[in-house]
Amino acid sequence: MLTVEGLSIQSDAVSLLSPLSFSLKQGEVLGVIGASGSGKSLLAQALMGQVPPGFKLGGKVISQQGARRALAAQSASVLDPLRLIGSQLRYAAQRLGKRASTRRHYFKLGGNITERYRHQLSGGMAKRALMAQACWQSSEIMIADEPCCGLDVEAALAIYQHLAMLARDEQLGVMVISHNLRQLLPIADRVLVLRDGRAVEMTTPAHIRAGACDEYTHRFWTALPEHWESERVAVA
Amino acid sequence: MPTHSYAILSAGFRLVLLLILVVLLAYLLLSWTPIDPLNAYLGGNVFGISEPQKALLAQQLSLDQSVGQRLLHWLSGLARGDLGFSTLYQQPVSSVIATHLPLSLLLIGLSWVGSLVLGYLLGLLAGIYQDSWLDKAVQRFSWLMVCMPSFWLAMLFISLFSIALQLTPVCCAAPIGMTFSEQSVLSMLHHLLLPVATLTVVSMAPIVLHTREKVIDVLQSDYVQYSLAHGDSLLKVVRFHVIRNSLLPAIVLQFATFAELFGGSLIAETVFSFPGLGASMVKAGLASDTDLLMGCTLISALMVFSGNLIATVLSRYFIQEAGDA
Amino acid sequence: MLRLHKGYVRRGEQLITFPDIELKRGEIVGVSGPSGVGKSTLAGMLAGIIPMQAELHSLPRRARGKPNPVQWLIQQGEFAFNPRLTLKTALDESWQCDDYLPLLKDYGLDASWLTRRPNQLSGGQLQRFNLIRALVPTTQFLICDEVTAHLDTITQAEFWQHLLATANKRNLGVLVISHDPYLLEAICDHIVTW
Repeated sequence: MLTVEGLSIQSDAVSLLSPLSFSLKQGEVLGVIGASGSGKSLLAQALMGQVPPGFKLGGKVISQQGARRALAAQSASVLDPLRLIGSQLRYAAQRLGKRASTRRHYFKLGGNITERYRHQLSGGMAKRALMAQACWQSSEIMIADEPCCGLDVEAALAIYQHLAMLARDEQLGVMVISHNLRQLLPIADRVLVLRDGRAVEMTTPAHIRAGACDEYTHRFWTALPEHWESERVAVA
Repeated sequence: MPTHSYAILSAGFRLVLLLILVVLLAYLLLSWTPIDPLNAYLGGNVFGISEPQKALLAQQLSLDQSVGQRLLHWLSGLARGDLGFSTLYQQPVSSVIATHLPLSLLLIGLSWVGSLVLGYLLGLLAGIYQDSWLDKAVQRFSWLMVCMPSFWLAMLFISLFSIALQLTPVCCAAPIGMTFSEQSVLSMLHHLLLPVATLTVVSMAPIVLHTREKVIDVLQSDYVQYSLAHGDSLLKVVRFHVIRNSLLPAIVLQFATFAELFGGSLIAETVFSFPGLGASMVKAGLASDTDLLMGCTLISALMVFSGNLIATVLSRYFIQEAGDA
Repeated sequence: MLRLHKGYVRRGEQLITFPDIELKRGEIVGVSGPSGVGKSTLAGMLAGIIPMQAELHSLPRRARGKPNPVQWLIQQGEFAFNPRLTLKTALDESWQCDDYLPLLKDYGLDASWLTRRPNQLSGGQLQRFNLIRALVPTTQFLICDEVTAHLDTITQAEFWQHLLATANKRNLGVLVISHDPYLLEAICDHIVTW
């Protein structure tokens, strides 16, 4: 279980992330939503101990002895350009050791991904490789930063399903940062809402759908196209 | 595959074009030399022979023909595979080259490897320990080497190691009286030490500085930062990510600096009286030995072209990233 | 009128055929299809960036020295701008004057942000600047290539609200490329499925 107490990213002049406290249990899926610039990716980086230059990390992140945290990054730039994907995944897996062997059937990686270089991968293939890279090396918590940005509906659905399976079957605590509410809410147990580097609330998908949450949070739900009132612009 | 045969054809075409231009330019420059070929042939003693003898000598050396005629004569010989006759060595040019080229290749080859290995290691350390005393020292040393004339460094080495400390031979590729191959391997290395050291030190600066920049770049990349954030030590990251991403560009660069090494060998061989092809080329130029000089020029053009071609092929093979790596 | 009939493109060994597109001014047409099928190539062809290959096509005439009446908006605002130029320079480059200033208020953008560089703005803000840059007076058609795929739902809703209002006011034709079927259902007059 991961416990976060007062995690913040601050410099003398500016506060990028105000002190946040929450917990993430193994086997749970925690969704993180917010507008762009609200600090979602910064939160992921802070959990991995990284801050932008000139800023300091505050607060505490407490996890079990020997537990490994891993980030499934947003961009394929975290893959080495001159190494085959398969070789990099094996390199990641040896950080975890034997426990990584159960993870191999997640995210459906075939030779068309493992035997290629990062610049030869399509968007969907790259996302699967990034997800695999994180799940092969995490023993406790896996953070997925925008796992499906730019992917089509089927590809995104497959990845979200795998994330849910990872939580359920491998008992990983999975934190999913996403703005795709449609596919996040069905798998999330709880949802953390961020705004301008601050936590608005911690709620559940059911509450969001019903509107039994903060007004700002509910706006994310009502802003989905299927909930727009039919005030489509009339054709001239 | 169509793209491969196109590439080979285009490389071949470029080589032919290069050789034509090199031949034309070299011959033209030679014909404008102020050195009197007769005087050079006779070792400065042109007044020691009579007029009819001078005319006969001129005819033997083909000096009575125009530049164009001599060029055509040489080209037709080349087409037959005959590189001509060296008036300086009184041997066919091909045997002069056969005797002297291996020594030059040995000198250049050892210096090439030396400057790559040493240059890469220094650049790697400077990049990893950026802004430390080691990094600053390596950078200053490199900039100094970039400006250093190789003949000056050669003479410095000779006066320090050969004369003052008496650790290395003063000159030549072998003890007086012996040819290179007649001596023991230890003696060969002993004689190669200073010339190789000179060439290595002088040509290693670009590799050091380039590698340093590349290593710093790689250490700041997303993939290295990702590995570090996931608990890898610096050593592990260097072994898995940094070396591969910085060594391959260094190797490509080193192939492309073949030309500099060849030029440097001319000077090093002259200062050390090392009987390689470079030294022969200098002597041929001073003696207006046209055939030998043209033969050496062709060889050097081929070597430089090969170096650059290998660099191009390697860079296309390794560095395939679109955008920034 | 934007028309494409039996358009195609060669990708290596493959021949990819495009669906027929017909877009009048004032209309909103959606294009949906799986990733990698060639939707961006289609957008490029209609915007005149990739050579047009079709049995029949019709594009609005482009006056010499003036911007293309068909404007292409790409998926990510961050890649649409030169990172070394300020937003003001980027917009001036397109508009050649500062008539865009009133538009900034309509789109919820602060004029003081013009002095910033792209890396100092969020994705949503950049997409709005991207849109304003394309709304020069000569524009008749907008090709929106997955323009809100990377934005959160609130920003996405506001973006489309503004865009559709402008399209209605200026009678623009809008081609919406997206793989969000709900979005297409909500805003398009009709949808072309690849």
